Amino acid sequence: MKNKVIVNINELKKSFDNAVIFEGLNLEIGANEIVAILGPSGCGKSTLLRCIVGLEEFDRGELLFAHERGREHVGYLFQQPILYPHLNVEANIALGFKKKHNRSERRRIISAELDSVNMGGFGRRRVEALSGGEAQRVALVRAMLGQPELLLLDEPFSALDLKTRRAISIQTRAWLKQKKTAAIHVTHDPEEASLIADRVVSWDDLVGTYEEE
Amino acid sequence: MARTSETVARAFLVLGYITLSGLPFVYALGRLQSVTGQNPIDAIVHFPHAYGAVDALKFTVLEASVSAALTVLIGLPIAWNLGRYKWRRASMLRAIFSVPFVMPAIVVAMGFLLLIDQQSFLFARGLDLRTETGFVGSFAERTGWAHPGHFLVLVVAHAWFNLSLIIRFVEPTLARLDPAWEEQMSLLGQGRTRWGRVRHLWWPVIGPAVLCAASLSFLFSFTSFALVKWLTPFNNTLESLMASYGGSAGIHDYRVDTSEIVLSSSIVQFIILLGALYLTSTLQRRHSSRFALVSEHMSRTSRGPPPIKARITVYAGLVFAISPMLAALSASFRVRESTSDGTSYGWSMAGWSSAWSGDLSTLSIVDALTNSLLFAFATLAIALPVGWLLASTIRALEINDHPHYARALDVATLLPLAISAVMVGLGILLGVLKTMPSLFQWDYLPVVPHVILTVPFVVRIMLPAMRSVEPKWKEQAQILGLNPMRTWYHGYFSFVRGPAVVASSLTMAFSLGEFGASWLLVRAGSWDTLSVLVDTLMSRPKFDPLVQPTAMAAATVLMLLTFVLFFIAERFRPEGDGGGF
Repeated sequence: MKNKVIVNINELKKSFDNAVIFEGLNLEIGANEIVAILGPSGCGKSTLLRCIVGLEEFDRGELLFAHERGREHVGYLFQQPILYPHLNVEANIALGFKKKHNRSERRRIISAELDSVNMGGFGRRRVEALSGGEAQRVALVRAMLGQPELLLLDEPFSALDLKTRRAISIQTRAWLKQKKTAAIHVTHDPEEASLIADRVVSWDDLVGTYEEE
Repeated sequence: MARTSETVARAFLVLGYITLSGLPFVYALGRLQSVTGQNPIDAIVHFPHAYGAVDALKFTVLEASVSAALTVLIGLPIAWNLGRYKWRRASMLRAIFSVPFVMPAIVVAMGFLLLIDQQSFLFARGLDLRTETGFVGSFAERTGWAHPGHFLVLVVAHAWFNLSLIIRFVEPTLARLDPAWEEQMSLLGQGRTRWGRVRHLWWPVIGPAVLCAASLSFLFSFTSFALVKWLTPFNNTLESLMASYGGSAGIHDYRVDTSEIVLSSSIVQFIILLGALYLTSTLQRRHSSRFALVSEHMSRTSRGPPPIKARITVYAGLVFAISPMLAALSASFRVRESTSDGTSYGWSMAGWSSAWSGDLSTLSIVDALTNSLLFAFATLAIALPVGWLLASTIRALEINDHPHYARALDVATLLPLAISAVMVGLGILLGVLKTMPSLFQWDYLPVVPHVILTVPFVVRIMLPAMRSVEPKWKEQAQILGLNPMRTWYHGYFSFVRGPAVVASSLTMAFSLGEFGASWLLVRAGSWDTLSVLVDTLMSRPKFDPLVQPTAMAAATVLMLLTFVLFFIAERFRPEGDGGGF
């Protein structure tokens, strides 16, 4: 049985300076579904995610969210984790809160979330002292703190070594499932795609649908 | 052995520099103490009783605070818009906004005087800031505030002068900040609102730079002399108070009251400036480069060309930045003509001819220019090597794990900024010349204060460049088997060559435009520089219609020279250079 669709992308087109990045792109994401989009570097995967979250305008097509204010329920994980060096780990994560919490409540929630990604006790650390994998997990915790319905993962593990990449992919999948969050994960690594996703879609298939029609 | 002798040489240099920069001031204080019989504590206690001192302090603090706030108010929107978008010729725009900082204060004072005179655009629109009639006059009457027009012009002129500080500090960070930082913040719960983004992203990123620029702006406005002398002649700042009474101070049994005024004012000013410098230095450390910086091209391209609001802000800023300079240039060609129908103004080269011949002054423009250039080259010949060696000593201390000594020396090199131009001039006048009058015969006397005042700038420019030279370049040159000279050239000098040119150009520009100390010293001697010539000419009664055009011709020559030096400096300034001078 097909899940409820939380985002429906219809005939999307995006170009930069007359160069078409993609055209006629169609994709549906169901609730709690993790979809990996597999494609070579520079093909336009990141641009698609940026269009979904609203960082880029698209030229044509439709983006329909199940939720009325859909984009407010979308989280984003960048290729390089962007943690602000003027804040420690805990303060960086706290930026993800949508609601106000008092200090002890905030600390309790963050501590619990850090524990769940095996980073208990890291709250007071400086972000510059974190390894690449740790930094990306902090960014993941922060992105999930807003309880998004959909999380966009823009090759977030590509800079990590193979062993860490595998471990963090498995851990991220488990975490997304536990939080019942849907995700679009873009990557050029088939192994990573298969480890994390319920469904793997090739970029060529995604943009080819239009051409076939 | 070689290392020990290097250490000893560096120690001598440091001691020599501290002695050179501090001794005149200490001597002067000693002399004033012996004349007044007051020690520094007595002088501070006596401060409220020194004639005009409290009023001068109040006025100084007020004008410096308002000037600093106005600098931020005008400069921040310009820096923000200049830094965030893809401007055509961004480096040229940045250079134009930076010119005011190196413009000689006397030229700026003249420019602003012209902007508010009775032939000005503002006067024609009913805003009479100079003679304070009309709206300004009735405002003064209603509030009881004497000369609000002059005060307004002074703080605007200070804001103009310090505009480049805020742009230099803030704009490079904005221009090179990774755009992903802003995007990430806008996607987080706390960054969805504009206030949230300001609080969590923009203020942490540019806040220390803004405060640092404001604090430096306060410092420079506090010690401003030429602008105060010309734009607010009815009010004294501590600096102008000391300058007015400096000539008769330090003489036993003669006008002891003036010695008391100078002594207590200089100590109070020194303490306040030390505090401002400490604050600046602390803020500068916080304005670090921890932020993810990308190439300027990438950052600007991601945000695209400037929207209309950004264009209006930046172009209005440009008009503001060039107006006083254009006013000085045009006034050099504008000559008053009195006819039976009244007074009119015509265009002519008479002012330039008069300046060239020296008919209205003790020196011709050529002689004054020669003096200025001689002093500037002599200053460069001493200040550049001294500043270079001091910066390399600080770097050597940092590398050899002596951070506290490095920091102490770093602060010590800033001290001449706390001893303002007038205080340095007074130090030499009271501390050295009255002890060794034979020095009056020395042709290059004004070079001494110029060196003291420019070395801090050389250190501030060279030190970041030296810090950025990575050892790997030298190691690579050694591995390639280059001889020591080529190793030094390719592994070190080629990285600091650009900043050295910047430091040289700015040292010459500062020496050419220096007014406070030169004014105090040449008043007692006869080494007119271009800036002193402008002041002397403008101080004459204006019955002769050529007085003002002649003064403006001299000011224009000074301005053009500064322009040339500044644009040489800009050509060699590394990408993303911010927070420097």
